Amino acid sequence: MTLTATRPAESPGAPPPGVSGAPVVVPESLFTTSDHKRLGRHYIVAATLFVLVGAVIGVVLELELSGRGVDIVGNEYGRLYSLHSTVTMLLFVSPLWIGLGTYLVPLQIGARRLAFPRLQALAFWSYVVGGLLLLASYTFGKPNGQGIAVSTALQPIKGASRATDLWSASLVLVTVAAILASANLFVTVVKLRAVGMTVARVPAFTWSMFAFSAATLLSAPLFLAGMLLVYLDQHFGGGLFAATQVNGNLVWQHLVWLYGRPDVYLVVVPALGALTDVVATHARHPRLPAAVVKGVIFAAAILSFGVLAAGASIERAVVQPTPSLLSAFIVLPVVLAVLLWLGGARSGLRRPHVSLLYLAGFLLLLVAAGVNAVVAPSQHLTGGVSGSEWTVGQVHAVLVGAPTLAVFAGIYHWSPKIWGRGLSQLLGAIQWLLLLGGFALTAAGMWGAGYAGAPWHLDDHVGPTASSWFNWAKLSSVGGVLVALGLLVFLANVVITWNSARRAPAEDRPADPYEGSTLEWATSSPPPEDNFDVLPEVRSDVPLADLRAATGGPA
Amino acid sequence: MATAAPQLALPSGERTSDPSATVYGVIALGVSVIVMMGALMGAWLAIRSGTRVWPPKGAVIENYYGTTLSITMIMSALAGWWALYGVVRGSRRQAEAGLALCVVLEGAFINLMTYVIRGVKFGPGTHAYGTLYYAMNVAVIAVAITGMLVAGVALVRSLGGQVSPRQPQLGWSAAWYGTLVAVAWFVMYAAVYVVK
Repeated sequence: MTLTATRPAESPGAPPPGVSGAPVVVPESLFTTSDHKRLGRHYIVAATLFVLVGAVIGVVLELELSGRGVDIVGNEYGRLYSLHSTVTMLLFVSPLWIGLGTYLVPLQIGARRLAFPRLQALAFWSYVVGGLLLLASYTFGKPNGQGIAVSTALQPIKGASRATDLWSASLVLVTVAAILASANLFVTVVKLRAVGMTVARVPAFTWSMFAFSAATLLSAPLFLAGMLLVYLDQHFGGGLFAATQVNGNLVWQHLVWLYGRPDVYLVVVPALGALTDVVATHARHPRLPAAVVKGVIFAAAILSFGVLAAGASIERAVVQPTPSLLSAFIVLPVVLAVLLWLGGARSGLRRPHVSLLYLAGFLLLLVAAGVNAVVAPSQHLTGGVSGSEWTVGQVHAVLVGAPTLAVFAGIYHWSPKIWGRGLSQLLGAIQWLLLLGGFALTAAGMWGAGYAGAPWHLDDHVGPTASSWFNWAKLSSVGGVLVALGLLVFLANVVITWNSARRAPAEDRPADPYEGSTLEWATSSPPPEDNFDVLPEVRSDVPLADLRAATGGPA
Repeated sequence: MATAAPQLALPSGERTSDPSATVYGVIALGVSVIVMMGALMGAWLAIRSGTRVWPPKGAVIENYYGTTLSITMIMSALAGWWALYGVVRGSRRQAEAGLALCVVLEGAFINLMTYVIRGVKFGPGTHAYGTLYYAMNVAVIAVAITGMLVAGVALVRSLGGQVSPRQPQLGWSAAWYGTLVAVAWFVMYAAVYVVK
């Protein structure tokens, strides 16, 4: 049963168009829109396009390592490695979550808009321009050194190239965009909740975006400060990050180094919220203990700051073992969330849905990485666990692969709302196979090379055992190709669905295809410009289930 | 199946947008600014502890400037709160005087900051101290410029009659952001003039 009717063509009582008093509607273009729904869709597509570039670079990097004497990128390996990491983490995973949050948060809390619509548009375009400048900086000239993906500081060169200036400025822009978007989402949740939508009743995904935004507001400025120092150091050559400067590397690891930032772990936080909502919607008896779920999500956000301490562990692990332990604690809320999902789904599922495949993929990658984390210490990795190719495999499985599968679980789950019609389940399953297989092969190749003795950040595999690393690198290359194909399938799926949904009659665009319980399912698909024609009263964390009960529908 | 009109058993839970969101937005961004300054302070302390001669020879910044800048910033922050007092009491003249004073004092602060920078005998590339000093200056000046903009917008809106006891949000925003600008400055003051 559909609870929310399709929107009438005209609001009752409103004068017809052209008559005095009719609202003047200014058509918004791609570039001028401040509608959170359009911006959310733009974010999703832009982030996917950016990561396609990142995936192609990743394939080239692995091919470079796949045989003796293979030389595709010349001396540019280090820079491209950094570009690949930066694009993946800063232009893809976090912005994709921000995009999904931009679309869904106002709908889930019963708001007509974001708190600052134009600020979100500014954030989106800053992100796009920053991302394009980042890519352009590599074609403009040669940015200095290996960028922010390595734990050793970028050595200053007096009068560094314009490419380096452009590179650091672009990262500042991308970070400012993340801060602006996070502030907007944060304030939207705090101030624009519908009557009755108490903090305790906020859906899990919105709660996770709230925690993500709060943590981003506290962590992204650290990187901003770091990039300001990098810019000045590179442009003027002050020697702050020079190898001779005591504690220069420590500052680098805390403020600049990509894997030393809380944002790296933060990408897991919205995953917990989105997957909780997926399970709650598709499970037969979906009631999950809301307070525990929210506690788990918030704990993950707080514990993500443990990675800041871990940044120092490379230099001080001998005297300070606690930092690495702190960063490992983030496993606890993830495990708790998984147990909650399994508990919620133990009575079976209401329907098969492709988003559940993505959830399974998310868990499989985490389990594989967990097993590796247990095995690794006994394997005498070259450079230890923090200096081996094995670590790069962990990063690809835990920090990129798993969150990517989680965000696509969310996108497929909410696709009927986002595009008016659900994305093709068949193409979704094909994409899932490609992404899961791709990330698994990519990580497996890196794990294998690490176990075979390969250190990380090599631009060429040389040494007595190097020949055994070549095949592992080829395996990773194949994985990268599969990931890129999976992303192309997603873009094709979006284009096909979006075109068919725009032509489909309203009856083929049900407001609530899942009998969902949260407010986003109370409005048409896609929602009208001001989100809701009529908003139900919120008396619990499942307002639509209450409405169905009140109107005699299924619970 | 869809029906022609909504069949709702419960009354609407719609809430009109809350204008105090502006204040929360300003505070959220202000907190980020403070964190950024805290990060620069942390870098300052870390590098300082690893450098034998600190400040480096020739890197002399007179306390006089720091004190003058601090007094200017305190006056600017107080002017912001005075303006808010005027806004909530419905005294438009006090509100506008306070906001104007806030804009002028933040302008004076930026002017003195740039004067001090021009007077120091080192650049951002002279040594690590210089890099950190200039980074803090750039950050504080950027924050002060945005503070001027917030207060300026509030002043213009007030002159246009759009800031009143019933619409005090811009007054609150200017007061809060002005205070956060002062906090950002005092983080730098603590590093450069107190800890040194």
